[in-house]
Amino acid sequence: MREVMLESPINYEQKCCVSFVLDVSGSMSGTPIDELNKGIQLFHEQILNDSTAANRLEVSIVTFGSTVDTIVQPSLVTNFSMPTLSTNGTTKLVDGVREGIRVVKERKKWYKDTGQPYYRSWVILITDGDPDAGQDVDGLRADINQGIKSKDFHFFAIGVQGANMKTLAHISSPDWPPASLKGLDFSSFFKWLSVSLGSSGVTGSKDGDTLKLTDPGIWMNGVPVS
Amino acid sequence: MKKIQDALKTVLTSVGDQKQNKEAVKTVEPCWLAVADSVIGKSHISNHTVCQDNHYFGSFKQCPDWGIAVVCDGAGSAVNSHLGSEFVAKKVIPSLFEKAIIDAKWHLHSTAPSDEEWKELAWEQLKNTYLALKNHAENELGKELSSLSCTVIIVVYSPHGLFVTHIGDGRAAYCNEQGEWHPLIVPHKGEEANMTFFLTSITWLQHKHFELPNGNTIPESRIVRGKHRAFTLLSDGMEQHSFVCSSWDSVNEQWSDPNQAFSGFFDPLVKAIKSEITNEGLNASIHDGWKKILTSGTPQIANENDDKTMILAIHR
Repeated sequence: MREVMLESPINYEQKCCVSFVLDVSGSMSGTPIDELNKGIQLFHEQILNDSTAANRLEVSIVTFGSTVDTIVQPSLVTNFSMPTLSTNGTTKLVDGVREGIRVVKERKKWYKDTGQPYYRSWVILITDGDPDAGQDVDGLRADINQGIKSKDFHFFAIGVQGANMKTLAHISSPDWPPASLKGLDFSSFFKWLSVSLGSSGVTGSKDGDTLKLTDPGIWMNGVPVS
Repeated sequence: MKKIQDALKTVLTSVGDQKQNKEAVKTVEPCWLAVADSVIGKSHISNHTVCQDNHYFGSFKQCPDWGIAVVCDGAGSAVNSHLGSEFVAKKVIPSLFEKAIIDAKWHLHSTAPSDEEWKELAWEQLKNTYLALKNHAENELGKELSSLSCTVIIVVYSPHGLFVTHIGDGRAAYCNEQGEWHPLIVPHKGEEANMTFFLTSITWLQHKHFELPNGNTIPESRIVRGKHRAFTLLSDGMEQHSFVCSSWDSVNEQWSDPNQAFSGFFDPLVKAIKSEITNEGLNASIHDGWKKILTSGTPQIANENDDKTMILAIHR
């Protein structure tokens, strides 16, 4: 068969929203926040280099310390530069995760209102501590379970050294328990995450696919989840 | 279940007998020629899983001016879906549909049947396909039916037009005599981007001509009457590369699926295939060329994670 010059149609890529809920409380000061900043910059670069994921993944950043701030609204990585995080105050973890949930639910509503197909969203929590006293941890657990049950989002919690893993296990689904980061190796985690959310993982998946993610053992303490 | 097994045996035996009976076979050359292949996607290579797509193209033994094209795409998470798609595409659908059409004597009529007649025959034969797959899974392989889940697109070609039916996603289109491409199916999609329906989804069996919120039915069946230049059917791994299927209106903030076969992709292929037609059919070398197109015909195709199947048929 002789050589054929084929044109490709231009198609709008279906979207996947991921909301990072990041602990910037005082205990993250110094090396932890520096390594977290390096990690999120690396994630940004990795997704930029994956042309399919760069057109599909909408990233949001919610930070929590004494206050909760959505510093990046859901955006393609080509449309924003990753901010540099700085630390402040205490650990309003419950409020932070609730804001992350609100962001992905609002984005899902927009996808549906505009008629576009979408991949299920992700809320990814990274924390090194315990929620402030008086925070409604049980209520958050109920919200997360309800959101997972209604297929609104997936939830994944990462505990950094000093994190209360029991609290993270309490709010997480038993099908997707929290993971403990090895040291401060945010770079390895975000590199793994960029592959998992990239075109060879979530944003390239089809119905019913079992996502065979690469081994998280490189960044995760304990037995790797298969 | 025994009735289905007996029916299949009868079909396979009678088709074999009819090869012997030259008087029963119309001496007609096949008027449709096709290239067809299924190629494994990037993610399946890296995950060390097999290609879950399968396909079939061939003319009916008793009346070669009729024939059938089938594309099946195995469900991603179903561990045996490659077995399901192969069984359905190659072993069941061609023989079931040929027998049903011959029994109905449609090949002897001077016009196409009605839309309703095709809709009923298609539903009945898809039901029989489901039952055959169930028997194969549970009694022959000792596996759960759901592990062999797959989608299915069927195009029966005839002197009167194209008869189409499908369950699930993927795309199909035809080129009319004016050289214009038009869709043959509206794919069945779920709420989330990567969701679809399967032959093994019990819903369409329990609710005949099950209607989706968008007005489409499962299965969706139609006849496109008249003479056509070409037709194509493909699994969803090829849709982004050959169809305009996802458009964003940034002014009105609305998404739509034009479901339009892209002429910049298909017209050069039709021209290339036509140049390979000889008195004996298609040059054998074209099939290697087709495999190469489905593997890396464009940079985007080369980068595709999903399995890719495409049948492109040309009217002589």
